[in-house]
Amino acid sequence: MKLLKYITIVSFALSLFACSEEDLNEQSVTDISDETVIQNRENAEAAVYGCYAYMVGSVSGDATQDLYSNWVITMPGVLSDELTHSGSFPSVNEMDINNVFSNNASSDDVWRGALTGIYTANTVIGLLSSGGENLPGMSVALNNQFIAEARFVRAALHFELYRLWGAIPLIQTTDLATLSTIARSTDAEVISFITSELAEVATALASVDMPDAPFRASQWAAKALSARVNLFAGNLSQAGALADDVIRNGGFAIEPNYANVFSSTSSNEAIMRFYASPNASVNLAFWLSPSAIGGRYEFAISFELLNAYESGDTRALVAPAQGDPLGRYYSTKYTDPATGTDSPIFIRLAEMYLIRAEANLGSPQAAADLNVLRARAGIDPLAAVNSIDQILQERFVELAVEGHRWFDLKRTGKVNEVMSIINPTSWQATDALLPIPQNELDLNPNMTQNPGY
Amino acid sequence: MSVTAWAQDRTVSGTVNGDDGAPLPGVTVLVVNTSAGAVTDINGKFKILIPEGGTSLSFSFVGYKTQQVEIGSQSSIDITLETDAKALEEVVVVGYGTTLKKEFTGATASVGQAQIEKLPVTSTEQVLQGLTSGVFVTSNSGAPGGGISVRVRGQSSINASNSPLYVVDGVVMASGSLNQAGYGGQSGGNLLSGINPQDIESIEVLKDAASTAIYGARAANGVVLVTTKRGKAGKTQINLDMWTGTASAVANYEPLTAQEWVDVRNEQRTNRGLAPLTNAQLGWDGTNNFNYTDAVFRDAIINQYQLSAGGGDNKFSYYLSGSYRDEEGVMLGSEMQRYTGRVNLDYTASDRLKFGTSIGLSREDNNFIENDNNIYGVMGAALLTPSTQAPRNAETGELRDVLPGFGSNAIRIAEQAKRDNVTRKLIANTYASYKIIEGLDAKIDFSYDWTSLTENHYDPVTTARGRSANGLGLFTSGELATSILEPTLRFNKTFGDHKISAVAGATVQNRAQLTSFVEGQGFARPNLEYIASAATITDGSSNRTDYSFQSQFIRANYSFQGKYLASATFRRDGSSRFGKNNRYGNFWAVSAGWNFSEESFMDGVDFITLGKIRGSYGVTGNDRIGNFTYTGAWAGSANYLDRPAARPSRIANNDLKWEETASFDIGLELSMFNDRLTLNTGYYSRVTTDLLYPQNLPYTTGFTSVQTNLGEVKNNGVEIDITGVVMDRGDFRWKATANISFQKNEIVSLPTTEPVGSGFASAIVPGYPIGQFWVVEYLGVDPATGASIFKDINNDGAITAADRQLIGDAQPDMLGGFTNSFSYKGISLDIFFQFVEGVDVYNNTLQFTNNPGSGFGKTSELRDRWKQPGDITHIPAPGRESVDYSLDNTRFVSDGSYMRLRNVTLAYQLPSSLLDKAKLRSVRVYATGQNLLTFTGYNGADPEVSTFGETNTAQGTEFLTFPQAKMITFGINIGL
Repeated sequence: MKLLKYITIVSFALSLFACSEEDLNEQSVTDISDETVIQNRENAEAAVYGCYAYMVGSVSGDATQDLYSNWVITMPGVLSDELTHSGSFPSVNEMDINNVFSNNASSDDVWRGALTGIYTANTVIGLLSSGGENLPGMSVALNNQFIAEARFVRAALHFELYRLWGAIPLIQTTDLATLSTIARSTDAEVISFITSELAEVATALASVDMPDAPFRASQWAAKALSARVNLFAGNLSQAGALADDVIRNGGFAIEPNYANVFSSTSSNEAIMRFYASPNASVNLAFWLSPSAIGGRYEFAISFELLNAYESGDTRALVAPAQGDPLGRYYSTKYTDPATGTDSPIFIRLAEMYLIRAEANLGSPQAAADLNVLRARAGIDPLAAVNSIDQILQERFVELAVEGHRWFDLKRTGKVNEVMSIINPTSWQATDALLPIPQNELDLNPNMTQNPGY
Repeated sequence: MSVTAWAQDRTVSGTVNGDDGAPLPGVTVLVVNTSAGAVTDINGKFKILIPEGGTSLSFSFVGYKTQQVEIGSQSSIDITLETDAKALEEVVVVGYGTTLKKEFTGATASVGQAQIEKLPVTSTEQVLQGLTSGVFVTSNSGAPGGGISVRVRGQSSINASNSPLYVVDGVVMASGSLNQAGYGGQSGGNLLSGINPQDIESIEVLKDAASTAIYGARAANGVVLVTTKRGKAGKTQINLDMWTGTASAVANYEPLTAQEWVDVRNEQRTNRGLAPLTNAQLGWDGTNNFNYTDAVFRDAIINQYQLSAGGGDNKFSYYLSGSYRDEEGVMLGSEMQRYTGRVNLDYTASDRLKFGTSIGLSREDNNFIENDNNIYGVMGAALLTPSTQAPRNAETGELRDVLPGFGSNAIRIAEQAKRDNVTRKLIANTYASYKIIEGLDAKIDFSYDWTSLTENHYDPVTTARGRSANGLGLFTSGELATSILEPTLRFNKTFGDHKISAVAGATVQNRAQLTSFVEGQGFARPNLEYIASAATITDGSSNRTDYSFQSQFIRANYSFQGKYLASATFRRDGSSRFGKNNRYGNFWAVSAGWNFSEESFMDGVDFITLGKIRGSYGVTGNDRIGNFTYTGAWAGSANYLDRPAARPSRIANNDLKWEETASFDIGLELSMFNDRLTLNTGYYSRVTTDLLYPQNLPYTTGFTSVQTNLGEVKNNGVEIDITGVVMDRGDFRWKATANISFQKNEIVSLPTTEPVGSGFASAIVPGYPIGQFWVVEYLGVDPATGASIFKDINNDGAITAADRQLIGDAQPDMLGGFTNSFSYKGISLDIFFQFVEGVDVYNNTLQFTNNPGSGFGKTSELRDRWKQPGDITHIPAPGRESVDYSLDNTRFVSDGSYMRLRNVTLAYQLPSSLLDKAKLRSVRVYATGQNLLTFTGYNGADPEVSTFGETNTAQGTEFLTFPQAKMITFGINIGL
C-alpha cells in the first residue's frame, strides 16, 4: 500500500513535466510561413506570380505600391515635360516642380514596392536554387524557368530603381542583417549586374515556350530590356545589336492600328506587358482621366507633348479634359478608370525600332526604322535621321505616357536644357536623381543621399 | 433579592443568526460562571435552563466573535454573531490556493461579498472601481454592458494588452474581444460580464511579483482572482433578491437653441467678412426649435431578479443560482438583457478523495446603438443636428432626413439601425483532489472556457449609412474555446516552529478562435434585416487562429514561528506566440515578511495586534500580442493572371518574446486597537523592458517593420488602505474605509525620441507618460478683437502643427475611494465616494461640434463666446481664426479629475421577531443610488470616458461617447 502511494506521487510529479514543445508550434491558416511558402509546383508558381504582381503593384493587402499600375509611368512623366500636375497630391506637386523632398510619399511607394518585389524574387531564387526541381510537380526545366523569371523581375526592378535614384545597392539576398546595412554600388556595377543577369535569363529562357505570353518574361523580353538598359547606359552598339536581334528574330510585328497596341492584349507588338483584370486592377486610367469619366485626373498631358504631335499623327491619343480650367488634355491611352482593365505595356517592338535607329544614327537604317513608325502614324516619312533630336522627338510622341521621356532627357544630357525652361526657378542639375527616401537614411547607417538633397 | 429568586429555574430561548442573516446552527451557548450550556439547532434556535446565579449568556462559534449578553429579565434573546474579521485568522485567496493573511508576503487588494452586493453594477470589473488601491478602472462608455478598462499599478505596455489576467474559480479567462465590428468604447474589455456579481464571494487583485509570479508570462498586468460562492454545510438557504431602478445620464451637453445657432453661424460669417444668411438660407423656418439631445436621452428602467440556493452536509454541498437582468440604456434604442446560471458542487467521497465542479453559464443580449466615436451614431447625430431642424415631416409626421448631405436623424438611427450582439459564455471547472499522505495532496483541474458571439448589424434604407446601399447588413459569428488541464501537488506541514507550504503544478492550455462574417446589401423591405433578404452578398470570410500555452510552476512558503516569512515562486511558460528561439520564459519572485508584532520587544505595545513589514521582487511577463507575429509569413491574397500569387507579409523574428516586468514592492501592514484600525501601505516600482514593438526597417529589407522587443516603461507609486471603526457604541456602529494611490508612469526609452501620434491628440514620447497629449498651447482670447491667441513655439509667425507641445496626459496621478458605513440596529447606510485626480481628457466632441464654420449643431459652450470688444472670455469669436478648431489645442484638453458619489445604500434588516411569524429567515429592504453626484471641472459631459475603448495609447479621449448613467434602485432580499 505504501509502495502504491509512492508510485502515485512519482507518476503524478512526472506528469507535471510531460509537456511537449511540439504542441507550441501553432500554424496560421491565413498566412503561409517562410519555411513552407514553396512546397510544390503550385506554390512555386504562386511565388513567381507574386514577383510579377509587385511589378504591376496592385497587390491586394499591400496597398499604395503601384508600380506599372501607375507610378512607374506617371512619376517620370510628371518629373519631365510630358505630364503636368492637375490633381491634389502634394507629393505629385513636388515632382511637377522638380522640388522633391526625401519624405515624398509617392517616390517612397515606388522605392518600397520595387524592393518588396526584389525580396519576393530573391526568395523564389533562393528556395528554388536549392533543390526546387525535386518538389512535387516540378522538373529541372520548370525550375530553371521559374528561377529565370524571378531573376528577370529582379533585374527589371533594379533598373527601375537605378534610372530614378542612380546607383543603388544590389539586392541579391533575403538576409535581414545584410539588407539592413547594405551600401550603394557604383553605376558600372549596377549596369553590369542588370545586363549580365538579363543575358543569363535570355539564355535560360531561349528554349522555353512561355505560357501566358506576353504577360510573363521571355528570352525576347530579356533581350529587349537589355537593349533599353544598354541604351540608358550609353552602350549604343550593344543596344542596337540587341534591338536588331529582337526585331529580326522575335516574331513580333508592328500593329497597324496604334491604339490597338494598348487596347488589345492580343496585339503582337507587345514583347511583354502586364495582366490586368477587375480582380487585379491597374490604376493608370484612374489617375490620368478626368472626373467626368470616373478618374481623379492627377496628371494632365503637358502642352509640350501636345505640341510635339505633328498634325494628323494618329498617335495623339489625347482629348480635352472636361472641366480643366487651364484647358489641358488628358491621355486616352488607358481607357478604363472604373474597373482598371488596361494592361500596361512593359516593352514593345516600336521601342526596338527606335533603339536600332538611334544606334545607327545617320545611316539609312535610322530613317527606315523611324519611318516604319511614322507610316503607321499616318504622317510623312523622314528623308534622313542625322540628329539625336529627331530620335528624341519621335520617341516623345511614339512612347508618350509609357514612362520614357524623363529617362530619354537624362541619358541624352538634355534634361537641364529642357527642364530649366519648364521650371526656371526650381530646377537644379541635381534634380535629375530623386532623393533617397528618408526612412533609408534614418535606418541604414551605410545609405548615402544623392547630391543636392 | 427578589430578582434572583424570580430568576430561579427559568428558561431563556432565542435564535442566533450570522451577520449575513442566516441562522447559525451549532453555536455554543453557555451560562457564564455556571456549567449550564446548550447548542443551537439547525434553525439556529436554542433553549436553555438558567441555573441560580446565571446572569449572562455567552455565545461562541468558530469564525465568529464571541458575545456576552446580560439576561436581565428577558425570556427570549435573539442575537446576531459577527464574523471574526480578526487580522490574525483572515485568509486571502492567492493563485493556486489560499494563505493566512498574516503569513502572506505579497501585495493584494480585495473586495468582499458585503461590498459587492451593494453595487447594482452590470459587470464585475466595475466592482473594483474605487474599492481597490492601485487599480484604475474606467467605464469606457455608459452603454449597458459597455467596455471597461482595468489597469493594475499603471500601464506597462504600448502595443500589447494592459488588462489584468482574470482567473475565475481557477479558470484563466481568455482575453480579447470577439467583436468583428466597431462600437467605439461601447464594447470590449469586460471579460467578466457573464458573471453575475451577486454570485461572487470575493475578488482578489494580485498586484506585486510575489503574488502574480505564479502566473508567469501573463502576470505583468496584475491578476484578478474571482471566487464564486459555494455551499456551506447546514440547512438549505434560499435567497430571493429583486430590485428595480431608474437611470439617466450623469451629465450631458446642452445644445444651442435654434436662434442662438443662427446667431453663431452669422457671427462667423460677419467675422469672415461675409454677408449674414437669412433664416431660409440656413434651413430654418424661424420657429422650429427642437432639442435632439433631450429626444434621444431618457429615463431608463432597470430590473434584476436573482434566486439562489445553497446548503449541504459534511459530505456534499451545493450552491445554485439563476439571475435575470433587464437594463435599458439612458439613450434611446440601447438595451441589454442578461441571464446567468451557476452550479457549484463539492463532494467529499472519503477522507482522501474530494471532487467537485463550478459551472457558470450566461447569455447576454446586448442591443447596442450606433454610437461612440461615430458622427453617424445616435449621440453624434443628436449633437450635430442643429435645433433649427424639425425631426419629422410636417405633413406626414414621419421621421425625416435632417441636414441634407448628413442625412442622419438621431431618433431614426436609435430606433431603426440594429447593432444586436448575443454573447453566450460557459466557464466550467471540474476538480478532483486526493490526499496521498498527510500534508500532501494531489489535485487535477480540467477547465473549459467557451464564448460565442454573434453580431447582427442592419442599417435600413432610412438611415444615412444604409441609404446608398438600399439597406446594409452584416452578420458575424465568432467562437473562442479554451481548454486547460492543470495537475498540481500541494504540500502543507508544520514541524515545530517551521511551517512549510508548497504547490507545484503544470498547465497545458489550448485555445482556438473561429470567426466568420457575411455582408450584404439591397434589402427587399426595411423590416427584413437578415442577409437572407439581401439582393447581393458583398463580402464574407472565415478564419481560425490557434494558441497554445504550457507551463510548469512551483511556489514554496516558509514561516518560522509565524514571525519570519519567506516565499519563492518559479514558473516556466511556453507560448506559441513567441519566436522559436524564445519559446520558453522563466519567471520568478522572492519575498520576505517580518511580523514584528510577535517579537518580545513588542510585548508592551498592546495596541498593535498585527504589525508586518513585507517586501518582494520578481519578474513577470506579458505575452498578449497577436498570434503568429513572430513568424515570417506570406499571404495568399495577391493575384496575377487572376491566379493565386504569394506575397511576403511579415518578416520573421525568431527571437520575439514576452515583455518583461521587474517589480519591486515593499509594504507595511498594521492592525491596531483590537483590529479597530487597520493600515496597509506600500511602495512599488515596476520596470517593463523588451516592449513588444514594431521596429522600423529600411525598405531594402523588403519590409517596413519587424515585430521586436525594445524600449522601456516605468511605473511607480504608493498605495494606502485604511479601515477604521470610528464609533462602536451600543447598537450604533460607524466604519470608515479609504484607499488612495499615487502613481507615475513614464516611457523611459523607445527607438525614436520624436512624438508618434495616436488617436486624436495623443502621442507616444520617451520621457513622458503613455497617454500624453500633443497639442498647440491655447493662450486665450484677445479682448479687443475676439481672436484666439496660440503659442508660436518656433516663432515662424504662423500657428501650425509644428507648434505642438506635450501638455497634459491621461494617466491619473492619484486615485482612490472612501466609504462610510453606519449601522444602527437593523438599519445601515453606506456612502461610497470614488475619485481620480491629475488626469486630463481630450474633448474632441467640443472641437468637432462647435467649429462655427460647419453647419452642424453647437453646444452651450458657445454662449460664452467673444461678442464685442472688451469681452473677457475663453471662447474666441466664431470664424476669426481658422485654426481654432482645426488644430488640436489645449482649449480642448480639460482636467478630467473627478470625485463621484459612486454609491449610497440605505438598507433595513427586519427584526427576527417579525420574521419568525412569517417563517422567513431574513428580509432586507434597500434603496441604492449610483453615481448620484459628480464633482468635476471637466468641460464636457462626463470625464469618465474612453472613446477608443481599451486603447493603450489614446486613452482619455471623448468623442460623442455614451455618458455614464446615474441610477436609483429599490430592492428587497428575502431569505428562506
